Amino acid sequence: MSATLQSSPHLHGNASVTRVMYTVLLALVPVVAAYIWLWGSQVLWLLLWAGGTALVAEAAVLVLRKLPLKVFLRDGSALVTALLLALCLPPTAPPWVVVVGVLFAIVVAKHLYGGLGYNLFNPAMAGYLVVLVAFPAQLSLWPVPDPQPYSAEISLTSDSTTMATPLDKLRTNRLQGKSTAEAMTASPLFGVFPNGVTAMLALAWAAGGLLLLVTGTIHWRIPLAVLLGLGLFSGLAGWLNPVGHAGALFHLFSGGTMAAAFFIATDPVSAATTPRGQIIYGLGIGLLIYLIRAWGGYPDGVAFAVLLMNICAPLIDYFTVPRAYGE
Amino acid sequence: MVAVVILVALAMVIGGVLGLAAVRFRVESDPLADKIDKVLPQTQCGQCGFPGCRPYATAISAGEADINQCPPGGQATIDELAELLGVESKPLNPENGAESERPTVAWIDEAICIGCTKCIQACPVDAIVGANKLMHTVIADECTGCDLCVEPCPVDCIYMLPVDELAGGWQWPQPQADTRSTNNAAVETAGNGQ
Amino acid sequence: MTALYGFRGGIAGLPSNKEGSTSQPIQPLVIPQRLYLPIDPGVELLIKPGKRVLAGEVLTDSNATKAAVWHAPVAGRFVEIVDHPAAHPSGRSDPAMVLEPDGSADQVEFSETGWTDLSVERLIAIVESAGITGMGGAGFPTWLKLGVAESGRLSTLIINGVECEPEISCDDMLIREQADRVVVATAKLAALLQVETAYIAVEDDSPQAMAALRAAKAGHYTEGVPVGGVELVELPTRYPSGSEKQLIENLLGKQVPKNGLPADLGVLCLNVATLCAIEDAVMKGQPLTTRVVTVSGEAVARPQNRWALFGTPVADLIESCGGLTAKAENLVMGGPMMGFALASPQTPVIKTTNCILAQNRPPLDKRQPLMPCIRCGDCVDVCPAGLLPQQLYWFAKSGEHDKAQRHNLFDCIECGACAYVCPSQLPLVHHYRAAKSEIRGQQAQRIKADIARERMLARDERLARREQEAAERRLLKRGGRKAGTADPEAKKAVTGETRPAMSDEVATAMDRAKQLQQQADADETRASIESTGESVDSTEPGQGANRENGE
Repeated sequence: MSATLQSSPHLHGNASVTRVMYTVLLALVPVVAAYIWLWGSQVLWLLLWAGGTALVAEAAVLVLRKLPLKVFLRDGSALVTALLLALCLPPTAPPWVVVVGVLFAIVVAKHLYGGLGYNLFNPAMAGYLVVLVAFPAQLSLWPVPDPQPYSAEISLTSDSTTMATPLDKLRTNRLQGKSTAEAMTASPLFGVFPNGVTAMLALAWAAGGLLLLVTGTIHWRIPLAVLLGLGLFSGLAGWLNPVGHAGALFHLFSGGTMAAAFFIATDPVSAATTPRGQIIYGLGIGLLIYLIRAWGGYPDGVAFAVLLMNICAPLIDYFTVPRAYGE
Repeated sequence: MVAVVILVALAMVIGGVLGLAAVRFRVESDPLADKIDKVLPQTQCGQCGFPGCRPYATAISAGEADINQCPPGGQATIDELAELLGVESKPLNPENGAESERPTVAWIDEAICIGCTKCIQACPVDAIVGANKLMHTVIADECTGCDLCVEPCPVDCIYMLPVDELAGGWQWPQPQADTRSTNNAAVETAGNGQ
Repeated sequence: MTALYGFRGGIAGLPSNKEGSTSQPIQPLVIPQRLYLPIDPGVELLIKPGKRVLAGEVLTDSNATKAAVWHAPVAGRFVEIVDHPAAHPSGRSDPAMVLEPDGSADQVEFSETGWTDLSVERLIAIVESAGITGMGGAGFPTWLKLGVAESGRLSTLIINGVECEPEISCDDMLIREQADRVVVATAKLAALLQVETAYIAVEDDSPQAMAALRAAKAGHYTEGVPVGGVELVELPTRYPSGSEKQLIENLLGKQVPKNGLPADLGVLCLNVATLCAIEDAVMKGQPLTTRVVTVSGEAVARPQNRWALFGTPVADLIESCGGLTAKAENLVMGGPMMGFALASPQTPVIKTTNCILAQNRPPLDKRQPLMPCIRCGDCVDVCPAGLLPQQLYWFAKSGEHDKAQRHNLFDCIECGACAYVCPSQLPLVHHYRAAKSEIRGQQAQRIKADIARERMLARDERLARREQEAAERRLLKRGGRKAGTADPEAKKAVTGETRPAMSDEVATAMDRAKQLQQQADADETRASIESTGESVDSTEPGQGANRENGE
């Protein structure tokens, strides 16, 4: 009989943090497969660097903080952060870029704020932003896929081994006053669809996201709200001004939208927690992504949008406390 | 030049609004001594050096006493006072006494009591019932545990006993692991079964 | 088919583990060697220790407290009052009556009343004198619950046979074996209380219970008993559908208002075992002395349901079920989700003991490592009370009581659904319980402090008033010069002395007290010298006395 007083319940379900984290890693497999198909196995090298740095950094910080190594290293949260970050970078990015990003994400964005469960900002996005602002060149050079599935639609830059992403082209065109139609493939669907590479990646992310939904690892609210928010605003803008704005379909399937909707915005620690709050949070991310893409200084606004909404999450929670039974 | 004029005008308007709000929407609040008195435990023991909690509260609000002189209130009261007054919290002043682990109540041994009423006069909250040459007894619910009755008793028949159950009934203890650190460092011992 | 409204949150698919205990009928009573009946604070004992009592004899008088009266479950001798482990999470020992059964079947005379021409007042009196409290787990005094019927506000009667907690099957088996009684009693009670609708609710994981109820209803209908108005409802299995508030929301689509009672909605909800107890009291005049208890868990040799007398030590009950197969790491009174861990196997069965669980897993805290809260929100999804368990956790942990209360901490029904789903294995319910009791303690302390402040102010006023009166008298005396007698009262008031100079009696008493004190100190000194072989400094009288009697 236990000498220490212990409260009910005396029964527990199968959920565990490790299970959640490893399900997320599993959900990244479609994306990794897409990367390998498009650009060969160099992405695995990058993932190795990212994962290795994450584990070493986490171990070092845990030792410094005198926390139990075995438990926290095994939970997989550091790996998730690192791999997500690595998959946001071009597969030919030099390893030191990813190392810098992961170090910042784990040491500063995660542990300096208190560690697992206490961080205010999404660590992967914080790391990505540091790398984006510090090394913008390395991040914008996406290699030409090999083999090229939709080669007719890809316009090459002066360096024929790299190409700009559709969002890059959108921004450049906007700055140059050109219309959006030149940036992408025309399609009979309303709005325009981005080129095959980007769409394929988006679908790979979405497939992983579906796995997360089906296993109950994430709730449907945040992904739906992000996609709805982005879709609505980009659709509205595209409808009002089709020349200056690409439509909903373009934005939903390009850049980091799907990754954001299913993997990044749903990071439980930094997202809003109340049901209504999560919808507001997701809508806010969608709106901000669009605002930054359409009028901001960076081609893709996912990282900024997520971090900005992270700041608002506690306030959103404060105002959306659900009505209790009987009220 | 225009900018300067605009800014000055803005400042004056906003300042006026704020001043109006301070007058129109003023909230009447307790004077500081009342607020401090609400925080104190009302033991009325005098260990702080003042004859009761109210005089101590008045002294604190007048700046004549420090916030760490109340042993029955303990560190919790000191912290609350510090927050109320916007000052740094500090440890209990050992000159005023030590924080007791368990609250106590007085108990009169009726076999020895001689009915002298000295304790009745000493009790600051009239928690002792009795009369001259008649049995005295302590109303345990009203006793604050201030100890003031123990001294005057000529036959030393009053003892301070720890209370059976705190006010409000039995309390669930805090869950074990969390009392050590906010990051559940006790996981090490808890995870040994793995 | 009754339309169901569902209720918020809840967990479907909780492993019920009821196959073992429902595979055989309810086993008969086993009378232990000794029965320990708890004495609630404030009750008056009607029997003196040493007397022989008959079965059904009333032992306590509730004396205006809300506690239920206790009856002797069997004939025997009331031996003594001892401090015995109480059926309470604290594990403390409280006074209990010890009864030694003598094996005879002698009982007091029971007066049968019957349902015909029964009035609500009479029913309430019968229920109160039979000592019937809610047997579903909460133990609310049933006669107080029935009191709402007198106001005429009742419109719905719900008989709660929904056993949503895993392992517990006592109500299920009771319905299977006594479906006739349940249906008829519901109909009679519904008629007496003049409700519009009466429901008997069970969960769909026990089709046998539903079948038994349907057969009973059909059978009695053909006999002419007006059971037609009783609706049998089968609820989808979802924890905690058996909780009164959630049951009402599910069946009627209405929520009990905050800080209110089901009576505010015109609803009376009774556990099915309580109903059977009421039926026994009305039809046979029998007081409440036994109940069905489920004995279950991995460490139990033969899980089963068994009738048990109140006061039976849990160890005896388990023995009668075949004992334990392995060392039980955790003995729980109640179900695995809401029961409390027992400090001692001698704890007695009481009126709300629906289950005894013997688990051979280590207690939850040691089984898996505690992780920090990752704010996943699974707890929010399952909370039936619509709260934010993770926010409550953060507030409870950091002691921010006002924020916790604003987030409706006290609406928590402590069902444990949140802790069940938490991936970080956090002891959420423990945190809420600790926070709630801390808040209650602080509130009680504050009230006590306010009263102390008032008393001190009143005392100061009184002393000031006496001073003033004394001063006035002095003025009068000086001004008057009529009566030459010195007023002893005035003198007392001025000097503050309430008694004259020490008299001989007092002096003798003081000397006597000092002698006793010195005697006691000398004894102690002698004892210390004998045990330690050293000389001990003579202590001051006050300190010595404190050591003897205080700590």
